[in-house]
Amino acid sequence: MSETRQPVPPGGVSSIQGRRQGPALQVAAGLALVAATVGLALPGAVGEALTVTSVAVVSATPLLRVTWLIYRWSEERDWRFVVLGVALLGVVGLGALLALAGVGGD
Amino acid sequence: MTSLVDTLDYVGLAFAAAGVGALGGLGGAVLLVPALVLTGVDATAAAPLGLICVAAGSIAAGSQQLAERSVNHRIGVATEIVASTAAVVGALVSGLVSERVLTWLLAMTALAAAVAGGRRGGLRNPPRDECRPEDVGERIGSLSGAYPVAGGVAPYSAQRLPIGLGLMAIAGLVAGTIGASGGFIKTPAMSEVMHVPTKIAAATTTFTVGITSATALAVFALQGRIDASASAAVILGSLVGGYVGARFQARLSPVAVRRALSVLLVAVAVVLVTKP
Repeated sequence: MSETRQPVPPGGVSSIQGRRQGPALQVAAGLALVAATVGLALPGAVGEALTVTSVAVVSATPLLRVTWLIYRWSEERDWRFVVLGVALLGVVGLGALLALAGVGGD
Repeated sequence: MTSLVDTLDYVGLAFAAAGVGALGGLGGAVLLVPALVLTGVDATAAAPLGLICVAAGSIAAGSQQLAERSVNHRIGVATEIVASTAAVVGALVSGLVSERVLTWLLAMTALAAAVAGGRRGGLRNPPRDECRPEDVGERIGSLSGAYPVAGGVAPYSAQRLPIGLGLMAIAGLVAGTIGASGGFIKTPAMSEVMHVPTKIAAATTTFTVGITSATALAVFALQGRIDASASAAVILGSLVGGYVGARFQARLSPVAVRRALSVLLVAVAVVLVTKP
């Protein structure tokens, strides 16, 4: 057994405890679930619009989660991680732009 | 329009892949995509469906993992920057690397991680008397935190950051090159190299693979490469599977999660080398 006596980390405990993020994720999951289920059941344009909505919700939620974290870290004045969060969204945006421009890939 | 039989296939396969993905922080695409190809789905159509499974599973598992405070967002974002940058590079050079060679390398990596995690017994981060239940969560300004274990609360801190970030870069490169989420490298790297507890590593990776997948999905959607009805069926299965997987993981001890992860990694290695 490789046991390491970790020191108690310095600094305060983050106030990010998922009290708002958790319910928001449940709402997003519920919305995507209902849109996907009803969309599969309904024929025609309405059904297709609902299935597209479910895909949009699933795609947007993780990026909105990072945006929310940047806001919460700024409230905690944890500027180093605010910069890291913004940089992550920047990398994500750059990757999307490069792919849309047809750079690289198969 | 997807037939009823196809829809049920998608729902069932996505349920299994997302459930397993949430349990071990693997993402699920590495299991779903080969399974879809085996059932006759075209590989180019299966890749976006794998990413949808990962993103939906991440959302479904999120609320449970947040309630346990087992996601360390600071470690997640810090490592995801490196992984995402490498994923962009991987996408740019994807045509230059032999997929077969890469697949075998990945399978060997998965097996090595399985052995490393499976051999280790006990807890690396034991509970400390001075840690109280209110200390559970992540720490401001650092890549550390504390989590509940049997007998108290255990602090942890990310170790060997340069090596860990190097492995995250490899995971990102893999994600960009072959279209998997790289979770099967990220979780063992965080756990076995950076000494982040396996439960925290699995939950944090479930959060980060959602970001990776969402990015790629946005591109696929703008390129018109997403089949909406097949995607809806995958979302349906993945949301339920991710929720069930996260609930199941919460009931397991850290050692049990690590052993389950080792078994899953062996399965991933087998899937990788036997996929069509």
